[in-house]
Amino acid sequence: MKEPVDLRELVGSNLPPEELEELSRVDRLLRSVPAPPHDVPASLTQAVAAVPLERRPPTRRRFAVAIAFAALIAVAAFGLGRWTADEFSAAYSVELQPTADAPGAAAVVEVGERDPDSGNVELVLQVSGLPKNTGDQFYALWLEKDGEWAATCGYFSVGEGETTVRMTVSYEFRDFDAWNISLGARPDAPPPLLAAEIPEV
Amino acid sequence: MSALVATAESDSRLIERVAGGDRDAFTELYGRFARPVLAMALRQLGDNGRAEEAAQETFAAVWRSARSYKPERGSASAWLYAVARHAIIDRARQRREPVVEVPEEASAEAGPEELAESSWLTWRVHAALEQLPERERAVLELAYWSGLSQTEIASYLDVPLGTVKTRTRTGLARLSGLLDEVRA
Repeated sequence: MKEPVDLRELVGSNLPPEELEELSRVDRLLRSVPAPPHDVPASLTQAVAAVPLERRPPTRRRFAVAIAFAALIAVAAFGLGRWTADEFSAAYSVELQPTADAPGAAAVVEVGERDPDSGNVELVLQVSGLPKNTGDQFYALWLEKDGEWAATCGYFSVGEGETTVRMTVSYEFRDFDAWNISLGARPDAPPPLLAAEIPEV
Repeated sequence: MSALVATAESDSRLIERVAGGDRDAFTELYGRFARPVLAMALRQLGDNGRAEEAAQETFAAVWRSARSYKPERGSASAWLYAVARHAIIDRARQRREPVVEVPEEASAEAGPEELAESSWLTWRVHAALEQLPERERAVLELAYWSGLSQTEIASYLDVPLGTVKTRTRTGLARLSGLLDEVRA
């Protein structure tokens, strides 16, 4: 890339010497640093928009109360033979179809009701038939728009048999074209192993 | 020169409001620092996906720990810089990889101290750019990093050449006030 032109050409040559000297300092600063990113991805803005809605860390007293309450809930759940996963209420589910790269895989995304206060949506992903991760490998559930990886719902690993993963996102799914699961992260543009069109809900 | 600096709410005040749970202040702070945070994460982690994750973690940490910010200990920008650095290092450690400071043109042979200084300088310049009016920021970014001539910038923005020069001059003057005492 070409170097920026001389400061005098940038601002004109009729500046007072004092102003030119002051602008020269800033000119040198700008020439000494790399370019900022062209823009901020919408996926980051959406993800950060959900951050303030998370609960703040509890104070010590509230933490103790929360622990006691959690213990009570756990005992109750054990006694009833239930677990809190049962509380999840799916608004609809999407069955992802395996691509040629993962013929034995299967996955269902259950999409919860959008929380009217926070705008968050809980997802429960049930996946099976994908090879168990090794080393630093990880899978990703992501949303496609115009043929490209547009937003990441979350990363996960799988074990033997069926794996269930919970995620929370704030995306408007109708803004995207498809659900996909791939091995790896966005920059590598890994091919989908499972995919499904975004249903009209 | 400082008269040109916008009288926007200070970063310190915004962090104080974030500490009180003010979502609007958080959004404003994100608007000011998203690009500097993302730029630093990109330079140090080297890929867009992980940089986005680190940036997300940075702002989550800002939200969680805004109460720990003490104005008397340093500037808001320095506090945010430290939060971002920690989030980026944590992200790198999760992959059991060292943080790689992508060499910058101005400091390709620099040692750790010079790299840290260069990173801090870049942070301050990028953060200051975010405080400029959009029309001035656009002209400066095109002038310094796009390789376009001023005539090409004028054509690209569909404004007279004189307007490009005026915006460049006022943008630089405004940056001078924002980056007072910072030297390359």
